[in-house]
Amino acid sequence: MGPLEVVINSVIGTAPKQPGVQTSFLYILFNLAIPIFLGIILVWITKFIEKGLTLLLGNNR
Amino acid sequence: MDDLSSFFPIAAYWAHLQGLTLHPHLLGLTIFGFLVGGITGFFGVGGRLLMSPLLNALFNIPYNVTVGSDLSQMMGTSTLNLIRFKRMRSIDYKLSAIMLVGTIGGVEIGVQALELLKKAGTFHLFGKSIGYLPLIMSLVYSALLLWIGMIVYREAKASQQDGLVQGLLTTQQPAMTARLQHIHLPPMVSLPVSGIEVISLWVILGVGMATGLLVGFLGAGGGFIRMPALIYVIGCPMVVAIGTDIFEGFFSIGYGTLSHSLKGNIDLLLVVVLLTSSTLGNQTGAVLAKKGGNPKIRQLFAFIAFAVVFILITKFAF
Repeated sequence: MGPLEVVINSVIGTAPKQPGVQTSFLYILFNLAIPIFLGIILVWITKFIEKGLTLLLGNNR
Repeated sequence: MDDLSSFFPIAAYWAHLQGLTLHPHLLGLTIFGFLVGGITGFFGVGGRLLMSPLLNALFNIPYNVTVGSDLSQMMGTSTLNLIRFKRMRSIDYKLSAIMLVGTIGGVEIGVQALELLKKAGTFHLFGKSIGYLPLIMSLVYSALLLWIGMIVYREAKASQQDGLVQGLLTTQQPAMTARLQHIHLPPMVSLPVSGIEVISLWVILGVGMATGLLVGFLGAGGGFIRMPALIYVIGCPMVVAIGTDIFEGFFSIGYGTLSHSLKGNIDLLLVVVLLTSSTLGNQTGAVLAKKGGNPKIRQLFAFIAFAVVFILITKFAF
């Protein structure tokens, strides 16, 4: 098992077995924190994409 | 439940309970997210509304999961918007705080309404078993998409004739703003940052509640209603409206995510896949729009919206 697989499995593993009945604190935390964390990473990635595409397509409109 | 339940446990659980056969395909979901993000980035208004109904129509993911997961992934996009927003001073924090009270109420009503539909079960029509949840949700999404599609089409047509790009609801607003600002239903508040001397608290709470309903019930960010409402109903200047929309949107989406989490409506892997792919698509679409977007192309969004409505209708017919 690679490290990515371990991370995915542990994240998926927090999902409640009976959604809406037994909800773990970790599941709620992950639902809020993972998108925020990913959003912060994506800020940098989108900047690169924007620069790259602008270079590729040229600056003239 | 099939093998995919290990990757999408929440979606598989609810699909099983609702008698659906889940079709999630990792590559398919990634391409789908990229395309919807691209449409949103390219056309702007309303693109986000395509996500939830299409996830249900194409991948058979139950509506409560599409709404919850879409909202959770919007936590990521709203974080991104908040970080990239440079003019924090232009945010009206007082307005945001008041509005948030109404928004939280609206979100909760929306989430509870969705829960009611989730538990409502099915009925039989012409020998076919139809769920209340997919039926009502598809009808609501279809109505909204038709409405937005028609507005975009009319605006694109008008801007072609006038050579102007007009905003949503531009024609009737000043009169409406004046009327709403003259509602003297106490308590009255002043909003110095927005340059509003006095406005009824209930108007702000009403706007918050309306957008909150969209957030909780449809998993939409509510920006396509919040932005015009901030400008034309409350009377904020454009720059304050943009900042306040981003700031308030972050917290309302956060509350919606929390509420849907407690109801077990969020599938984390779905969130990660959709957030990553749609953000990359969104950025690509936005750059392409800067380079080659023109009012005539905007008409295309109307046809995409109508095509999605057609897909939703045919799903029930066959």
